[in-house]
Amino acid sequence: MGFTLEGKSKSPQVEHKEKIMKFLFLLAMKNLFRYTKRTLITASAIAFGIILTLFVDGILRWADDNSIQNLLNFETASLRIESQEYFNEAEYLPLKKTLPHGEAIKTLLQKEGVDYAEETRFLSTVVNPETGESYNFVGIGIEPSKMKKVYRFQEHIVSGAFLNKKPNSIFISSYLSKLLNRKVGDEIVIEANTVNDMHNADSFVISGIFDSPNPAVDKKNYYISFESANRLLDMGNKFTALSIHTPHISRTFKKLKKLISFDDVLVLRWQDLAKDYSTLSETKKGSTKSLLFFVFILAAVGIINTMLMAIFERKQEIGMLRSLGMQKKEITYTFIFESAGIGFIGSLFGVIFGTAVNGIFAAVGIDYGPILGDMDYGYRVPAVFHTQINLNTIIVVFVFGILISVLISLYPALKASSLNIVDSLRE
Amino acid sequence: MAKIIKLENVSKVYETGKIKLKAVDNVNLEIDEGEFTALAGPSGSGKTTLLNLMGCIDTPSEGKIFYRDIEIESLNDKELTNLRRDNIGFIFQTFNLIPVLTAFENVAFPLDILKHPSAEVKEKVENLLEKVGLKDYMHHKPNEMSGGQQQRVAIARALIKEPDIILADEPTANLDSHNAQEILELMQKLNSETKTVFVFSTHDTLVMDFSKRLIHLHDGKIQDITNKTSQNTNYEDK
Repeated sequence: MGFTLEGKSKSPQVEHKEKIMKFLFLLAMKNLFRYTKRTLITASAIAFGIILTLFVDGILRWADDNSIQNLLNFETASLRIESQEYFNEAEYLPLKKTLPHGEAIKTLLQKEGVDYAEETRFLSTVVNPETGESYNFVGIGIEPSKMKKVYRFQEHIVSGAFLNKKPNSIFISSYLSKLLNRKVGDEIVIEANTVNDMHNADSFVISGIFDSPNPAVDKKNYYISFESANRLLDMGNKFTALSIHTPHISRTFKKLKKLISFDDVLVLRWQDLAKDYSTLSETKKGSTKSLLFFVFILAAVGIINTMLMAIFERKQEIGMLRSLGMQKKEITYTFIFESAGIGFIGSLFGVIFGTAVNGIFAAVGIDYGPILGDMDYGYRVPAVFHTQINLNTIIVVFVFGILISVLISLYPALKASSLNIVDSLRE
Repeated sequence: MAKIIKLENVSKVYETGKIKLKAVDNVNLEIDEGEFTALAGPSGSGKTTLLNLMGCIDTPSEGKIFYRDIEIESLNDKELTNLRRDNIGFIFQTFNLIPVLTAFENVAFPLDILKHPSAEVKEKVENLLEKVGLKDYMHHKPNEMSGGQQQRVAIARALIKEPDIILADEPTANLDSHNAQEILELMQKLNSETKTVFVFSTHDTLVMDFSKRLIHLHDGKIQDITNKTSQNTNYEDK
């Protein structure tokens, strides 16, 4: 019976470490199911946090992706060219700040084979001539055939036809049609100030009604032909912007920035044009982080409570293990493994149920219409929200759930390993 | 005979608030190879404290403890743990088995800590469980066994790593007289077969009857030592 302080074994260090770890892991797993109810309750709290994170992240991702698509297809187009002065005062839609070098830029765009449309946006009041009811809307003067190439309204016409070249034809949203109680073929009066600040009004006939998936467009805009707008606003042949459609936004953006070398002209992306949405999108990223913090709190409270209770109940056992020669760090590992096990169960159930919930709502959707009503909620999506399943998020929250459980268990695990052996045995 | 443990002027004082309690008071004691010794005395006489000090799970307030020739005060926690792991076995009054492990796993785990290869572990554990009469209970968990059977598992667990010394704190306190007798006979047999030292703390007369050397403690001091083989009474510490 020899005595060594290093241990009797002659087996290689690695093999012994693996063996001990295997034993500690098995012991931890068995202990995990020693208090099945407690383990499941703690794991459920983690799972709940993960389900919530996946669900909210799924909705926000769906809203984000669809909003960008709907911005590009109905609101900002792929790119827009405006004068620097116009961009600076964009919220007032200043008609005087027309696009300089318009013809030269158009020639350049034609040469590059890029689809574009001349646009003039203007503040106006739309009036139901029968009732006198009126609303402030933004009118957009645009050539119909070019509008078809730059925007995607033709797939969302609910009544009548697309905007046509007939003088005084107007293309409105079903939202505006309901507000004014007007249908296709009915007359609407538009009042606006001309480029020279003279009050002007004209009557238009509704050619078609659209219902786009971008509520910001439906609640704000209507379309008339470029010629009609020029006449109403006394613009001559000038326009305030060129809207561009391209499937390769970044590439075209870089190219046009290089080609259009006028100092007073800007090439703009949706991020520049829909500033409200860019801010919202950034906030959204913060909200996912807040939810992960919420998972952290749930895991922290649950795991610390469970582990401290386990230590309290197993004091004598810890004392026995230490007397029989288990090192402090080995006791620490046992509790860390146990906690990781809880984190694993919670995360696994969390991602399984979270993905299932997301799967259901991806197909069914949640109608926030009754809650949101006419409220402007920033997202360029209809009030029926869907969710999106994202593999990246699933992996991140799964790993996060386990890692956070391990991290939180460090305090109770170290506490367990530093218990006085004699005091523990006396319990 | 080689000395396994030597205590030199060892005292242990516990402080509870302003009250100081001397649990062990200036004890000098040597434990030799092959001993089957009992520390006897009433409650509070310092039996368990002395056993804890010998087992290197407690440190003295004064005096020196030697394990073979090593002074344990010079060892850090890791070295002390290694010393216990390799050389000292413990048997507790309340058995202290791990409830989630089977009898086999409970006996095997000190070997797992000791890094023995699996085939060897299996053979050793099975042989030892057979030796303590639990061949048919290998895969039973503690709650499926009687107190006597659990204490047999605890004995096998203490013996599996072939320690120099096994320290047993009131090993029969939770057993009926029949089981206590059987357990003591088993330990006596193992002592004579393996020469493993057994030191008990007890106030059970049966344990005292079985022991070869009886150390009487009173108020933390050794009152007398009875060497049963020669029936001589020493008064080393009087």
